[in-house]
Amino acid sequence: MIAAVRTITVKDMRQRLRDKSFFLVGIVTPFVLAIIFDLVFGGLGGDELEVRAGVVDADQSEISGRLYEGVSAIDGEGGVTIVTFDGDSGTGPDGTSDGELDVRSAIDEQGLDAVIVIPEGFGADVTSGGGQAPRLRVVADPDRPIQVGIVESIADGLVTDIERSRLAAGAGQQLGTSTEPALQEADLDLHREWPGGEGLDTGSRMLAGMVVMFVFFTVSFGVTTLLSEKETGTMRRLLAAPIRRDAILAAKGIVSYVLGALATVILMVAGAVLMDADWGPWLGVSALVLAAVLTAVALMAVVAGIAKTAEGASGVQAIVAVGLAMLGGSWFPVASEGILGVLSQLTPHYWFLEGLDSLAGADSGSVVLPHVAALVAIAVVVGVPATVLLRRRLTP
Amino acid sequence: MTRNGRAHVAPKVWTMARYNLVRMFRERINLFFVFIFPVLIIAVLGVQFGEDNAPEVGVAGTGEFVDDAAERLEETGSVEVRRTGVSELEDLVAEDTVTVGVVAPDDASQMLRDDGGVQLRMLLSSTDEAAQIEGVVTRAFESAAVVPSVIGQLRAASGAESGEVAEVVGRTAEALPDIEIERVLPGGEDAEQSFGFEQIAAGMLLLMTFLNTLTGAAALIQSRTYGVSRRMLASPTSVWTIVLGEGAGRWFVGLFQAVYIIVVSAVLFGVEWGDLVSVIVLITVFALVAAGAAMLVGALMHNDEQAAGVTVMIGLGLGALGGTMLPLELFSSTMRAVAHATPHSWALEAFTEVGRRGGTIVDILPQLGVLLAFAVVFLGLAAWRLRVTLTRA
Repeated sequence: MIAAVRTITVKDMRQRLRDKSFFLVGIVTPFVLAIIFDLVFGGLGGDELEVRAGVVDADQSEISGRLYEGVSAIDGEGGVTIVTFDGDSGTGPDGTSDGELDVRSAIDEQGLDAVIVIPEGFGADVTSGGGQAPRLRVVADPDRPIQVGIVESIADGLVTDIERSRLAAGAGQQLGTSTEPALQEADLDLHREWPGGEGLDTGSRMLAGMVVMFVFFTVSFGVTTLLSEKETGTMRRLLAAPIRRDAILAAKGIVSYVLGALATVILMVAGAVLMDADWGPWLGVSALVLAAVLTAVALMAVVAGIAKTAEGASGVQAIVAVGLAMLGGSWFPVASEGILGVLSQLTPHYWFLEGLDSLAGADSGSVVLPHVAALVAIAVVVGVPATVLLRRRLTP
Repeated sequence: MTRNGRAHVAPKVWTMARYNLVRMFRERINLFFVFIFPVLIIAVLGVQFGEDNAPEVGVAGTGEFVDDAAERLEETGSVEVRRTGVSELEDLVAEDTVTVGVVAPDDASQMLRDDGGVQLRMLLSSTDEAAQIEGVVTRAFESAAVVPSVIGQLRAASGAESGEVAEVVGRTAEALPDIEIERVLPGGEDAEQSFGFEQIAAGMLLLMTFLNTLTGAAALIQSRTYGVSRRMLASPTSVWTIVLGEGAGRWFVGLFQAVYIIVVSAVLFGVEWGDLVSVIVLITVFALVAAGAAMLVGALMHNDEQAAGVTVMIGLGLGALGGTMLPLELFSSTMRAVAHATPHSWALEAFTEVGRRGGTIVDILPQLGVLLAFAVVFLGLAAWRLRVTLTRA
């Protein structure tokens, strides 16, 4: 039995490795896609976002001047570029004057995401108390909502400073103390924490998503040979030989598993070397990879067990692989609540990616135990019927 | 003979194109990827990133200061606030359900009034949005801290009794109108964010049309390896007729996919595509680009297994680069320049112009021109390569 398993395994393995599609689909495609996705999505981290904002002071009061300088001072910080405009070209408070047109053309010509406009009378409104609510306008490029949001939050921060000094001055006068409008620094002391770990960086996460998606394709090549051997007639010869059926099944399973694990390991090592991916404790990562490949073999085997032809099987396998990858968060994070969340948690992709996420930056690989357990559970639930189904297919 | 041959070109091309379409529908798997998958992915993405789905911010803590900050957060309209306990919040953030969590001490208001700083714990999830939402949260808490911290500052400066200071500051704050920040479009009207099904549907239309047209490259290789092409050449059919026929087949497939997504997304999700004529011209030209790419891959690759890997790589890769998965606005300037090397980004811009800004065909002429250029280059190269491979023994 063992000799037979070994013979079939070695022969199949050689056949698969000689075929270029293992490298193309199993390794090159996921890696290239991961690099592209990293380039595209990698800039999303927040601090790398480039924002170009303008500021116009049409008011020319003391307060507006302070605001104007405050905005200008941010130039160059955290990817923000500030372009300043002369107050004269600014806009009237009604928003319909000729000045408005200048702001619009400034947005177009200078490629600005938003312009902070301090309208005439702003300073007076701020100090008057009562009366009209002072209004700051952010003229926005409607196509760049994220950048506009950042500009708004810059304006928001400066407005808070103005409100504070205005309040301190106003109330201080009534109390008979003149406090300098010195900015009260550090009212709030913010401590940033990542309770779920900082998680994988975008690039590594993209790569992990592609790895687990494509391992299903890699594995399916090995499983489907069972059907194609039947179609080409070699299965009959195998069955006629003094080999137990289980030996044939075992060999096919081993080939699929080894190929899947091999592709995964190559990709993750390539990620660590070429993309600086930090996967965390290797023991935990290995356990996760081994368990995930097992579920891939089980799922692809169950499809092969039901399908009529090899071609039909690879079609359905593609659907299963792509569908599960989408649900499981290979492409984009899927909500963890609601029906979608429940469905997502039934996919091996979810557990693999979540496992890697918690391993990144963890001290010990044991954090990944629940994820590995979930993967093994999926593999058993799917794998047992798959074995029964496939064993039945082993007929001349 | 020549006259006769030319007279038969159109029906021949039509026959080849029709059989390409029939062959696509015979393959059951294609039915899934053409009919079901695009709808599924638009639905999932739409629910995920649709306008009703603001990221959640969790707030743990009680007291005036925290209530005020939570209220200010709600008012921004860009997040949903969930009030919970500390340990529950830690779990929610750890599992990325809540994007950012803030834990404030219960006596935070008092600490600020005592002129001391308050320590807030910012719990950040590992999602991409966390950094951006953190800014929104920080602003809300900073502005909520204004009143209590001014009370503390003045109490220290004036030496007055704390109740009196609080009363005066409260009254003054009440009387002073809040400074408002108003977002306007350059035209003057209110800005409205429309990040939703429209954008997702346009992106997916381009991605799936291109990908599913490209998959047809395998059919072209099959025609060659099975000898169909050679047999056609043996009949009074010119190389150009074959190239044209195969190309028309791919083009039909692409057009079909695009029209299907437009109709279904309009019916199911109420996506408004805009001026019909512009949209039809746009998808016609884009399908031509996709057909050209499919022909090129089909002409260059030797076996259909390799072609399958390459088409997935090119289809998804160009799609991602072209902004079909992530809006182009979020690209860095370098990546945006790179994106313009893909046909997808031009078509996407045109869709935005027509759908969101109510543009007409005149407004998208530049984009259509670029797309046509793509199509001409792809088809030209493919025809030249195919002529060589088809006539090679």
